[in-house]
Amino acid sequence: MSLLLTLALLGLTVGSLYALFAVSFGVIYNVTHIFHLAHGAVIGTAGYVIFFLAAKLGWPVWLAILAAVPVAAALGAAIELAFYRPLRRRDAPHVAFFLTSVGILIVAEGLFGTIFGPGVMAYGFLPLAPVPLGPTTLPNANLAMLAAWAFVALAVAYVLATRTGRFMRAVADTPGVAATVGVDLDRTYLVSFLLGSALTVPGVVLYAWTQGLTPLSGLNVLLVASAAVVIGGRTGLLSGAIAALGLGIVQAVALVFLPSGWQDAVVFSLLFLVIALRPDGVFGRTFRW
Amino acid sequence: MTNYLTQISIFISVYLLLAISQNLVLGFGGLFSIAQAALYGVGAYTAALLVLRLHAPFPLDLVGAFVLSCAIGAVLAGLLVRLRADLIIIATLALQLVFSAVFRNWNAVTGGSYGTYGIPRPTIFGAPLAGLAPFAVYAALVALVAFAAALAVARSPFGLAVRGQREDAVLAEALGHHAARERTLMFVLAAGIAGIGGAVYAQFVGYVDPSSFDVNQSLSIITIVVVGGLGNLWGTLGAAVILTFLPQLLLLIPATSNAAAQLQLLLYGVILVAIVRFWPNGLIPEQPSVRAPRRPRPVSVVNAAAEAQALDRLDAVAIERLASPAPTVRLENLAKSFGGVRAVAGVSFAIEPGCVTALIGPNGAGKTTLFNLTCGLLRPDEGRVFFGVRETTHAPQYEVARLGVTRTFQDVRIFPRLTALENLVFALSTAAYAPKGGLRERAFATLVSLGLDDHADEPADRLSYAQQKLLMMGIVFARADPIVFLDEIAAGLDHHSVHAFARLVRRLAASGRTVCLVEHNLGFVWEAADTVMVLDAGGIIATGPPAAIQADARVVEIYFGQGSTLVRP
Amino acid sequence: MAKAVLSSVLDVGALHAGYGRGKTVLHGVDLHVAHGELALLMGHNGAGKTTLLRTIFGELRETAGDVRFLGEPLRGSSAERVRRGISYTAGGRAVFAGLTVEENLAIAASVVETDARRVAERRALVLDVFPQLGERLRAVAGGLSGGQQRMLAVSMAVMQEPRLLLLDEPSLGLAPVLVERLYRSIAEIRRRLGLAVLVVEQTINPAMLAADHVSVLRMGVVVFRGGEDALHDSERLWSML
Repeated sequence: MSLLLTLALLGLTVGSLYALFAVSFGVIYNVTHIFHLAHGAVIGTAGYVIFFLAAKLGWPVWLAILAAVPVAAALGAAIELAFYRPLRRRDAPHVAFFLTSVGILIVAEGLFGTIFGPGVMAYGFLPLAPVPLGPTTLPNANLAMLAAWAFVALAVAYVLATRTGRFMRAVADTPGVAATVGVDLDRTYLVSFLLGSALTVPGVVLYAWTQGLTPLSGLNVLLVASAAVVIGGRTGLLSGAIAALGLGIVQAVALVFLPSGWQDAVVFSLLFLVIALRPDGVFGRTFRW
Repeated sequence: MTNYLTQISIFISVYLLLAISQNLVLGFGGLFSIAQAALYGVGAYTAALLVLRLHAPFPLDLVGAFVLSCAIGAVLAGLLVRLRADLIIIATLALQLVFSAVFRNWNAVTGGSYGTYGIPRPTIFGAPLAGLAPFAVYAALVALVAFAAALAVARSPFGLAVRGQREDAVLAEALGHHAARERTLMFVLAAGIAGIGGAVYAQFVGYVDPSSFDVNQSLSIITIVVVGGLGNLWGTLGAAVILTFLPQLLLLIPATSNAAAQLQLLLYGVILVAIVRFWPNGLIPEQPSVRAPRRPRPVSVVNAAAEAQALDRLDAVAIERLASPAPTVRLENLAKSFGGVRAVAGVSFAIEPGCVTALIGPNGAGKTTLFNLTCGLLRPDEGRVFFGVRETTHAPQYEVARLGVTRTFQDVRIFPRLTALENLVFALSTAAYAPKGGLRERAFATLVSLGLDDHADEPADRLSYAQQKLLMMGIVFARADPIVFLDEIAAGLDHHSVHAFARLVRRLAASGRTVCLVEHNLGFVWEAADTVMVLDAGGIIATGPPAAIQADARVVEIYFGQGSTLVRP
Repeated sequence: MAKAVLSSVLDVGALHAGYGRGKTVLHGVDLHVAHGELALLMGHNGAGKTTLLRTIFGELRETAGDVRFLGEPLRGSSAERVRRGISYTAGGRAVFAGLTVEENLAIAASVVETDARRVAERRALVLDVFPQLGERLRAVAGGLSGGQQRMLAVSMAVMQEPRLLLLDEPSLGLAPVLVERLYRSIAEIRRRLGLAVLVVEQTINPAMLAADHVSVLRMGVVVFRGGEDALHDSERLWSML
């Protein structure tokens, strides 16, 4: 029983991290309805930029992290401006968006691999050496969990309280009505990309701190995050966050019943089931923000 | 060097098989699947296991791989075919990841992360294909047979049917095709071909491990198809050759050989993004499956006078009299609600042959819903529908169409990326009452009678609005069905055209057919109809000849409210 | 409001518009809406009513002719036109179904106005005219009845402090008594705010008789224009459709 509890707590911690990534993906997906796989490229870029600045150039850690924020945001915005917006102007089918997104992702994977090599890059520069999240390191895990949810709360607060956040929720609800009411769709999409991309930075710091960074990290994280958003339902950010938490717990607890390595199968089978049976997500329209 | 090239040619053969599979599913079927690598893997593991565990001789390993991939493809298709288009991408991504996880972890069967080793080369007619060159020939033969088969499918009526349902599944069904089944068949065929690719790969390389069948592999396959052009198999051939060669060239540069795998990814990504951005139709556009029997004349500038002429042609189009009278369409107590709103409330009437029946009424009165209920696009909550003696209450659109019903949709609805000729051939392939003879010839003859023959090989979305409308009428003529349902056929027409269409509709009825219209254009209705039925709030409030309806106070009331100043004549 | 009284809020001159490749829907429409007027435009589907409104609102680009608003030629995106003072309520789905009534109103207002006091004043007015909305501020808009959603849609447009309100078939799908109520509310809003309203409809409800003038649109041209007496002459209007 205590194994189950330990695993559940482990799942809570990992799930909290996924929740943060789910929110960063969800900010973009809910508003623009683009399945932005290239978000993985942004995640990876943030991770490698921090690594490069802190480990290779020797910058203070806090400065490296801070510097990564505008870089990530700018990359996300650049993808929207250079690729998605022209496609929208041409009324391109959603397949075209997806292919572009995929292309950008694999370009990034290729670049990371070429520049940094395929191995794992450790975030050795962080104050505590990377430790596996076991029962003995619970205090650190708690810290990570709190940090993740703090950023989730920030994102939700932004979307609820600010004027632009309101427009984002309007566009996420019905873009056509938003346009009729006079909301500037292009500008709202841009802000979504800026915000969602910036949020990858705290996420990737927490992730790489314990797992290290590989060229495929972005994709791996993104797959779970996007699965969570689809499973939760894309009406609100919290649906994705809670679904991500659930996925983290399910993944961890699955270790009791299945050999490790099968977790992916569990997570993505769940994703498939939800799409087939409840296309609007498990929470449907319950969460409005 | 020759060895090196021979080896590349084998990989080209494998990638060609995979790319053909992807193109059939995505380019032809319109199903955005990222799971072809999973099916590739199924084929590879199946062949490996058949040979290693069951000592199956050639060609049973190939056949087994094909069969199992088809079977799994059938299961997946069943799950996928009813999903919304935007969700299919994510659903197939999920499936791909599940399969990858299974390959990696099902140690007992697949050997887990280490894979399965020691797969021998196939022994054909007693001779093991040990050398590079013999295997290359074998692989090339397999790939070419699959390529020829795919080409044959593409040019077949089945291929045309699949492309039509890709463009517009509802329209395809209204024209008599079982869209879901056709899509499924295409998916299964594609799965089988991917499986054969896997078997050939396993036979060549001698081992299979999960990393060859992961999501990145699916993405690479998609890249090849996108570069060559969706729906274009020759383009796929060219792209498979080029994109297999390109990364190999990178290996020749000494400095890059370490990062070869990474650079290949990089290259593919850049190519994919560039193609989608600048050449969204791929490098070569889709080719039609059936072409006009003669070259088009130079097309003159389309202007109003030419279009008026084209419309006058409607008067000259031959409408054959029916041998026996068309059936009466009978509706009994039809009712349909949408979320608490009664769209159609207990409607009963009969649509008789030999006359034009028009359904009018304000927006939201239920006219199109009634059409949809009658033609099988919607199922009624209550009531029954009869075509003659045959009850069709729960029959889907394609069954109703095959009974001899042609139904048009509001505004212009044709298959945009199929050519004008292909649109007609598609519609004719399920026409029960069309005279016998080659589909292509009859389709072309219809185009000639409408003056559209010079546009026969042009994609329909390049025709002008009026020409598209004519094409829609061409479908009605060519199918020669006894029952014709026209939904807002007069929308967007000017005076001249309205008269031409009214004459046309009357001639259709005069030939003995059952003709029913839904219309908003009252001028058209007064001219064309014999019987007018007025719908309001889901029920019929008046029936009669146009003159009576025009003077009916109740009808005026629903348009102008109670207490109007109209005095009954 | 010490501005010179402008004669026209909206001037549409010889307007041609359509959906490309020979699908012209408007073949030279002339229309004028004066300050504070309620103008009614009737026509069937396919006559071009929605096309006309969409062109005025900027969702469609005209191919010939012009549109003038308060004497100035109208250009730019629909978002810009909202800021200039034209609000549009489409038929059908016109509210944010997943958000509350309150949020719907707030979003519509915040597009043009950020001063909290003015927004509150306008909101008070809207809720006074549509008390049913006031009783349901926290309700999710998708759960409202058809009539209530229509009221909310009109309210959202009014929250934007428009000079010209474009209403596309507001009576669509509503029972006659609800239509009457809606039009009385529209008349009251017009009275209290002095804005001009252009309504397009397919059918006439007696409540619409509050209109100042009526035009009939048929196959892309205005075939009839009349004042108040025309509104009561149903037979004549019927023959025009």
